[in-house]
Amino acid sequence: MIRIHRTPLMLVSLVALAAAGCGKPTPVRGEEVAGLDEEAMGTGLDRRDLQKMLHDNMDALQGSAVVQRWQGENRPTLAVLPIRNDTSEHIDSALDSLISDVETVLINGGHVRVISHENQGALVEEVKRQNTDAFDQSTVSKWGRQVGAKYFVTGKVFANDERRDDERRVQYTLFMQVLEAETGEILFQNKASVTKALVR
Amino acid sequence: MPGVATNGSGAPRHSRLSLALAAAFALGCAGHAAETEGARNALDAGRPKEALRLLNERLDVASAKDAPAKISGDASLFLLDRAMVLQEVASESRERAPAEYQWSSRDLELADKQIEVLDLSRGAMADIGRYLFSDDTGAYKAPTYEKLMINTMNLVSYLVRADLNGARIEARRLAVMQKFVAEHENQGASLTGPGSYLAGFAFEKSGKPDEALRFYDEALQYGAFESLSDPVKRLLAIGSYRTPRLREVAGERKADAAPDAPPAEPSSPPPDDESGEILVVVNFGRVPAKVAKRIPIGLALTYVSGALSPTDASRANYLAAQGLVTWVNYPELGKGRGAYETPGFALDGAWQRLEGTLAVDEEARKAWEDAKGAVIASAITRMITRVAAGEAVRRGSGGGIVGALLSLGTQATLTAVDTPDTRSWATLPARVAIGRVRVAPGTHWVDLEARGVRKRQAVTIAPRGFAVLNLTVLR
Repeated sequence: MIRIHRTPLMLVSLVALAAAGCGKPTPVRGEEVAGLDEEAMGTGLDRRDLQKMLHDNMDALQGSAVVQRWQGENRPTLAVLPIRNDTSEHIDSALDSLISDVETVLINGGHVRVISHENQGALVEEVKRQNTDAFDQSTVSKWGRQVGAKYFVTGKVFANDERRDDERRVQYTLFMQVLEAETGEILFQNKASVTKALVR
Repeated sequence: MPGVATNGSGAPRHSRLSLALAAAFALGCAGHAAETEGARNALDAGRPKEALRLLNERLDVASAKDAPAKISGDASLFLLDRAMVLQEVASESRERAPAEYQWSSRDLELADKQIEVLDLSRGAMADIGRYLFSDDTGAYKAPTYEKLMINTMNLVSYLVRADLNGARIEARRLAVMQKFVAEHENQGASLTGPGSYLAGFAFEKSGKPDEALRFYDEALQYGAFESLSDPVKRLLAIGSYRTPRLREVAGERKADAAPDAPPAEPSSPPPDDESGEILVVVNFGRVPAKVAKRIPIGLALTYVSGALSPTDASRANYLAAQGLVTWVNYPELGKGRGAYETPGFALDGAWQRLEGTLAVDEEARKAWEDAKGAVIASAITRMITRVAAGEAVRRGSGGGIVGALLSLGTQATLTAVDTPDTRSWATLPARVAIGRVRVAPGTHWVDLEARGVRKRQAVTIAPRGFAVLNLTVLR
C-alpha cells in the first residue's frame, strides 16, 4: 500500500483549482440570470444609473413652473440637445441614449411637442463641437430658429473621480436644464447624482 | 485511517495524484514573452501588419475591427500590444486619421478598465499560486509607467482624430492616475510630462484655459518644453490659473524671483491672429521586453541578499550546498530598441525642433530594477517549496524507488508550472517626442521620420485650427 503525504496533493490540487479559472464565459440573456441588470460591472454609467438620474430630474421637471408655463402655451415645440460629458469615463453612447429617454418622457407627458433629435443631425454635431461651459444667447437663439424649437432641454454630466489604495470611486452628477430658445434664459435646472465605485 | 492511500471510491490516492499532476501540466503554459515573440519579431522586421495578425490570433479574433469576447488572463496585455501596433499601422497610412486609431483607442480603453480592476484586486488564490507555483499565476499587475502610458497613448489616438471630447476624458483619467501615483507609488513621475502636455493641448483647443494651464504647469515640472512659452502666454491672458513656473515660462517672472513676487514687467501675449497649429507626436523604438532566464542559485542568492527572509536564505543555501538545486528561473529585461535614435520633423521642407523626448525605456528599466530583488526572492522561495514538496512525497511514500520517482514527479511538475513572469506591455515605444509649430492657415507639408521610416503628409489648417500628426515606429 502506497502512503502519500497530504501536502503535495494539496499543492497540485491548488494548481487544478487555479486552472479552473480558465473557463470561457457563457453568453446569457438578462432574464435568464436573476439580478444581472442590477449588478454594477464597472465605474461607468449603466442603464440603471441613467434611469435613476433621468427619473430624479424628470420628476423635478414635472413639478416645476416651466411645465405650468407649457400648459398655458398649447404644447410648444421643444428639442433635446446632446448632454455634455465632463467626466473621466467614456460614457458618450450612454448619454446619447439618454436623449431618447428624455424625449420619450416628454412626449408621453403631453405638455410639449418634441422635435426628435434624430432629425437634427447637423445641430447635434454642432452642439457636440461646442466646448464652452454655457451656451450664449445668440447661439441658442440661432439653434431655435434652425430647428423650429421654442425650448431646449440640455444637460451635462460631471464626475468627481478619486482613487485610494485599492478602491476607486466616481461620483456622477447630471445637471439638466430647460432653456428658452429666444432668450437663452434658464427656466429650469436640477441635478441628480449617482456614485459608482470599485471597493473591497 | 490517516495517511492511508484510499478514497471514498476505493481508488488509490496515487491515481488522484496523477490526475492532479496532469492538471498541473495543463496549467503550465508558455510564458507571455514566448506568446508575443512572433509579433515582436515582426515589428523588428518592419512588418507591423504581420504583428497585428499574430496578435489577432492571440486574441482569438478575425481582425483588428473586433474586440475579444473575453478580456481576462493575458488578453488585456495583448490588447495593449495590439493598440500600439494599430497606431503604427495607422501612422503608415496616407489618410489623416484612419480607423486604426479608433480601434487603438478601443483596445486601450478595454485594457485600461481591466488593468484598473486587476490593480485594485488582491486575489488570495493568485497570491498562493505566485508563492507556490509560478510568478505568472494570477492577474497581471501593471507597473506605474504602463498605467500612465495607457492614457498618454490614447490621448495621441484621440488628438490625431481631432476628437477633443475623447481626449479630454483621457486627460481626466490621466490626472486621476497621476494624482494616485504622486500620493502612493512615487514611481514613473517623469512620464507625466508628455501626457500632461497632450492633455493641456486638448483643453487649450477646447477653449478651457484654466484646465490647459494646470496640465501645462504639470508638463513643465518634468520637461523644458520651449514650445509651451507662447501658448502659456496666450492662456494666461484669458485664464486665471497661475503658478510661479507658468509666470516664469511666460516671461512674467524671473527664475530667481520669490514665488509671490509681482510681475517684473507686463508680458504681452503673442498677436491673436488667424494662425493655426500643428502638433506632432513621434513614438519610436520599443521598451525592453521581459525574457525568461535561468541563473545559478549562487548568483541568485547574491542578487537577493536583502529581499529573502533569513529562514528562506538559510534553506536555499543549504539546498545549494547539497547540490539539490543549481538553477533558478526568473524574468529578466531584454534589449530595448531605438533609444539612441534621433527622430526628425520638418514643416514645408524646413526642419523643426522636437522636444521633451520621453524615455519610456528608462522608466521600464527603473521599474524592473526596483522589482528585481523581490522577483528573484520569490523564484527562490518557490524553488525551496518544490524541493520541500518532493522531500515530503518521498518520506510520505516510505522512500525507495517509488518514493524517489514520486518525489521527482512532484518536483518536475512544480518546475514545469513555474513560468517566469515575462508579462509586460512590450510594444510601448522606447521614446516619445513632441513638436509644435504655429502656421498660417492653408495647406502645409509635414515630414516625420524615425528609425529609417519617413512619413510625408499634407495638412490643411483652417483659420485658428489645429492638426495633430503621429508617427509610430516600433522597431
